[in-house]
Amino acid sequence: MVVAKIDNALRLTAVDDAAARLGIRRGLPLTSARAIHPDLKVVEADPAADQALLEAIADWCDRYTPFVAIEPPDGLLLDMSGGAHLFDGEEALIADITQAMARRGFTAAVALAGSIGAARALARYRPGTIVPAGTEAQAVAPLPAAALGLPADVAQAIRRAGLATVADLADRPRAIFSSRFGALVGTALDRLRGVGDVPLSPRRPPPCFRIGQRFAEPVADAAIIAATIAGLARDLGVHLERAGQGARRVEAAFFRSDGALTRLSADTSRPTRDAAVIARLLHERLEALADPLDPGFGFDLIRLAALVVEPLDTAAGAFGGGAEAERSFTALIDRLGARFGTRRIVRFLPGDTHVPEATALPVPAIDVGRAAVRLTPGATAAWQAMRGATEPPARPLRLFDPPHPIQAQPRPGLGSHPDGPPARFRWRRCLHEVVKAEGPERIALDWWRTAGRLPFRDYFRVEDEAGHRFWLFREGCDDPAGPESGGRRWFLHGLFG
Amino acid sequence: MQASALAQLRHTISRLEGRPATGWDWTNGSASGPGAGGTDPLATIRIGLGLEEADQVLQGGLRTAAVHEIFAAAADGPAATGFAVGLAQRVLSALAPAGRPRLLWIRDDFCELEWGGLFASGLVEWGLDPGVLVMVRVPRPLDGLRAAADALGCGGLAAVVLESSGPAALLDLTATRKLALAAAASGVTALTLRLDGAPVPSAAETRWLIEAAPSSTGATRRRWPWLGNPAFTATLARHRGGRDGRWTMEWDGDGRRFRAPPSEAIDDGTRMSLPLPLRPADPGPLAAETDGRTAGPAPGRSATAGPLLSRRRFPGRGGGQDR
Repeated sequence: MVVAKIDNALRLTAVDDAAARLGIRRGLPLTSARAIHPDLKVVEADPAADQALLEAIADWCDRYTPFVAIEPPDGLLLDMSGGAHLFDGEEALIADITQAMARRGFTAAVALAGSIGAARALARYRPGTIVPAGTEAQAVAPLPAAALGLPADVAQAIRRAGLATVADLADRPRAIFSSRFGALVGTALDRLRGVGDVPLSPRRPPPCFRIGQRFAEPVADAAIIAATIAGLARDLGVHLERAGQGARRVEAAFFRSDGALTRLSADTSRPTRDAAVIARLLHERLEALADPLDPGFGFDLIRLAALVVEPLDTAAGAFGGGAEAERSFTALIDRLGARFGTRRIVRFLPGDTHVPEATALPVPAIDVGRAAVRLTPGATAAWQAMRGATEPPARPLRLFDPPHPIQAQPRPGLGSHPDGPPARFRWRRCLHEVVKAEGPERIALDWWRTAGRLPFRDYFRVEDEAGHRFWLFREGCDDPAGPESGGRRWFLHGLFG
Repeated sequence: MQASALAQLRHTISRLEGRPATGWDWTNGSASGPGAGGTDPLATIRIGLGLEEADQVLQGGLRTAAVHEIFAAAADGPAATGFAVGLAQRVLSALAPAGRPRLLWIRDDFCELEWGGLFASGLVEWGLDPGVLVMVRVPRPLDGLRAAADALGCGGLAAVVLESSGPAALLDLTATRKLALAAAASGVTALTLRLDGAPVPSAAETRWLIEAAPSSTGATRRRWPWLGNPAFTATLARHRGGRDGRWTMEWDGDGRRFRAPPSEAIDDGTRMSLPLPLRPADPGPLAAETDGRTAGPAPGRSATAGPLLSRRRFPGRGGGQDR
């Protein structure tokens, strides 16, 4: 017995079979239900948990079709177009789903029809129905008018008008309903009868190629799993080759016999259909899992899918060693990317800015060369040294982002300059005496991002007595109303080699 | 007969040591065999630092397809980074025409926090094109070791830099031996940058200890001296089959090589004709907080030198020895 607060009263939102036999129904206030049977076991509703459970079941249903959509609050829509024969026909499919759900402790009401609206209504009001294509109108005719799924007030109005079934509405001229109950009724009726159906929007983008291996007995052995992946990768490669495509992202899905589902995906820096490469990347991903893949009582389905594909022409073997070196390099990038995540393997593109933190854009190495990256501003710019001839480096080798605040002491005495470098500064509890300094080099920040203010930084290259070199800056602002120079803070931004 | 037996033994030894049998005559230090520039694409070559004294000791330079260790104390980490970048730059420019145009730099997340990120604009200043660099950031040091072992098997790379922080116990004899074998098999040069690391026995070809050194100052008559080229004191602490050494060198950004610092710049205490108001009468609140971890002057020194220098309105550089 599940209750939730609806309209300021605790009402039952779900009841079990025993309660239903007592005449307790959904929507009844809790106090009325207690009057019928004082010993009710009551649980508070948890819509978030219900939603999560529904998502998990939807994941599991992925074994039947990639087109799975959630029908809130408690329904799932599976697009089985052209796929029922894989499960020995439509009756067997429905029986399979019902039984599988029952084994896991759920009661499923399943119906199969040629349109979403009809299937939805039949599953709720005539579970187990299979409607041959084109006969949806007849099939839904005896359903109660509530099957239209209309808003509560409209549904009540229809009931009061004495229209009990769908047939009652369907037989009468459409114009009457439109004027009396609104245009919604007509649309709902059409959907239900299979006219003007809306397409199903799947939860996940359907893969381009998908191939799976079902096991009569669940497997848990790592060697068998690895061999299965290798075999599936080979089959996937054949399919990809037939289509002239190569995979940029492959996904392995492990369906555990108790319903849990684990998905692993791996990216490649160039399209591939090499089974060995795909298998090895997925193996890397398996190895890199923080908590190893738990087979539980075993997997009853392992599936491989190519989620992103690109055209791949038959490689014209280049002569010379360069291609081989290039290939081994991209293979290394893919492997490291599969193991550590592609965002951890980066290359730098020059950024079109003077703000030091943004002069180098880290781009996943796997993406370098892709169209989206080529369009990045600065991607075509070249790296340019800031230093002049015979000068030491003008930029540090190591940069802290964000900069570290430091305590700096100004240079005292006659020779000092208010905008000069500090005499000493303290960073990470160490005091550094500045003996050499160069600066200031003023770098203006992006004024268009800071309304009305003109922030800038005065950078200094300084060296301490031991020869350690630092990149310091003092922040400033050309804002008359801004803080005075006394309040300007010092930061350490980088370390020179 | 005896000579051929000797040659046979030399060959066996060099094979055991993982060196290509180049017929190097160890007794007089000259290449006598066909090894140099031979037909084998994986044949190691030696890449000179540019500093002649060091290159002599190194018998021509650092060997490619081997592991080289670079150690530095905590404060000298950036200097060691500079040394590694310089070496990588020289290896890269020597091997890029031979189809090895890339550099892989592996570091773990702790290095990123502790030492800051590698700054591409700074690499440009050192003559290293950031476009050839691939950064690999790994969660844990062990992952870095695995990544390095993988990367050393990739023929498209010129060098792999493995950066680690602290006394990484992972890079022991066994691990470095594996890296050295992988490097020898693929021809990739491995540089292990051990910031704040403690040397342990290893299979590295060379081991360097890097300390920062004051840079030579180019300009003299200024309010304060400017910075010169990046300078370090590099100690060759270990060198398989060769002598050790210790040199002060600086990076020449124009020639993209290491070189000896200008000689007149070594005693920089006397050259400053314009005095510097370096120290105030009061060491200041910052100096007063010095807790013994002072990186600048030794503790206690500032306490005595401060008032002394303050009486001299403009003390010369070098702490008053010229008094």
